[in-house]
Amino acid sequence: MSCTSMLQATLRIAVSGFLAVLAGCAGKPPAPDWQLNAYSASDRAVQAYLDGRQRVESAEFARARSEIARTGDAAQLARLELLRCAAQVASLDLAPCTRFDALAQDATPTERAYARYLAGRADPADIALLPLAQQAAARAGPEQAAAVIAGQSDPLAQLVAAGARFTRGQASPQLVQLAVDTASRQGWRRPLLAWLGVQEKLAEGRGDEPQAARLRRRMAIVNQEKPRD
Amino acid sequence: MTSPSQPEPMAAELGEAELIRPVAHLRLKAFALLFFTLFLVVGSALYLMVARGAFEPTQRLVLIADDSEGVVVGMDMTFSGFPIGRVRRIELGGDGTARILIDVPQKDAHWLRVSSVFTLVRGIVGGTGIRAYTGMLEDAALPDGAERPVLRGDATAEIPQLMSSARDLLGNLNALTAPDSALGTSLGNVATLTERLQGPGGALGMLMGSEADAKKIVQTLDRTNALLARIDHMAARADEQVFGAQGLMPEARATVIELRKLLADARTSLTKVDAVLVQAQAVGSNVAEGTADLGALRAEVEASLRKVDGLVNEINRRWPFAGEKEIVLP
Repeated sequence: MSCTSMLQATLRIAVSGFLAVLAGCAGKPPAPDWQLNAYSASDRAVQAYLDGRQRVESAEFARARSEIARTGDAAQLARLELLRCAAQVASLDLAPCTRFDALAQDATPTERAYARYLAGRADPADIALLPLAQQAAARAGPEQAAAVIAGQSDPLAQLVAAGARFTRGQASPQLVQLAVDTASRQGWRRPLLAWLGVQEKLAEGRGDEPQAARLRRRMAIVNQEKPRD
Repeated sequence: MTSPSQPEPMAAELGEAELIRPVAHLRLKAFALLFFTLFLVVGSALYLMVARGAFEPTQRLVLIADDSEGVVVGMDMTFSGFPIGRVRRIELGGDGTARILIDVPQKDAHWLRVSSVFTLVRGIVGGTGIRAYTGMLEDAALPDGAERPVLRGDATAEIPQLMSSARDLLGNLNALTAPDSALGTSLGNVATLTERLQGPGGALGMLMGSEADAKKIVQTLDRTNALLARIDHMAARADEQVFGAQGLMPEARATVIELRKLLADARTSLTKVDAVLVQAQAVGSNVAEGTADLGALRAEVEASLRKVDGLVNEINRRWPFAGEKEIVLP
């Protein structure tokens, strides 16, 4: 009896390993063109937005939008718009996500919850539907928020979480410092300027003039060279 | 008839006369014959004695045995099968042991050394023999009158012991073959075992203890076979995917060829751009023509870029370790 189960277990392990190797070559059907195009375009668009290349960003978003429009899938389009809004929130551009609102009635509950989260209006039911990184950040208390967000691997997710907390007025100086560091490390001009501005305001509010001056000089360096579109 | 028979009585008369004539030196001749005969008798006796070694110088060897049964005076002591000594006398020693006195001719004495061993062998069939063994011929010679114990090997002495051993053996055999013995039980077990071997499930059932488990093993083997067949199929498919006519490798090659064509296209496009720039330098000379050229050129450059785009998509699609290409919210 034990001999049988052992044999089966060994076989199962061997076969699953073999399948895992094969899966890369033989498993799924090839991804359609629109999906590849939309994915790469949206990726480039977000990067361009964070780098402050306005023209590239709008061109790539337009391209991604048109690729998704080929499918007529409103939910996919809504997700693309949400992605753009998330990048804006990461850069503390707190304008309402109007393009998403137009599509909201056809979006999935997950996306509607994410939109409310970005707008700072998420309730506990919404938080359960968020991506894991945002769930952890949203549930963390004010003190440990910076530590929880710093533990996340995706820098954009860190900035979105920080931006969402800022929208709700829950951004601690440590969180602002974390956002500045993350944006600086990634070389993301737009969020870096925004978060440096917040930090400067905080320094001025504390009456820490040398720190404010230092931050202004830093912002000047970021502004010095305009992005080349 | 008468004339030829005449001389015969004459000759007979003559012969008889010859025979009765006294022999000369008759006494002498008779003595000579007598002495000759005596000489032959004595000579042959002497020869026999010489041949038997009666006049050879010998040395004495005394073998001490606890039992001299079978030993007779005159028997030989052999060395490597050759007689080198003879038993002269057997006497009973003061301590109750038998003393066998052996004469060894001096010419053969060199075979016996101080380290020699003497045996008295009595076989079941055949006579008794005294044998000498010399291991080391370099040892000192055996001195005259040496006394040596003799090793007795008596085959008949073993017979009673042999009989008792045989009796033990027979007893053991009886015990082994008894109906309630271990061997009998084992054979009974073997019988049930072979019965089960012939039954459904056979050897597997025997090994696994119950038929249900044996069936499971058989099922597992069947499933394993099916699985292996599927894996074979999958491997074949993987082969085809990678190396087949529609596989990854030929497509990668095709992609590279396409890329090369594309680069050639791009190069021609750039040459045209160059030409247009040359024209643009002469601004104003032929503005209308220049703009028309630019429109065609843009279409061509875009076409090249689209091809590059398609190529990148194709590579992304073929790339075996690419992740999911879906838009994910951060």
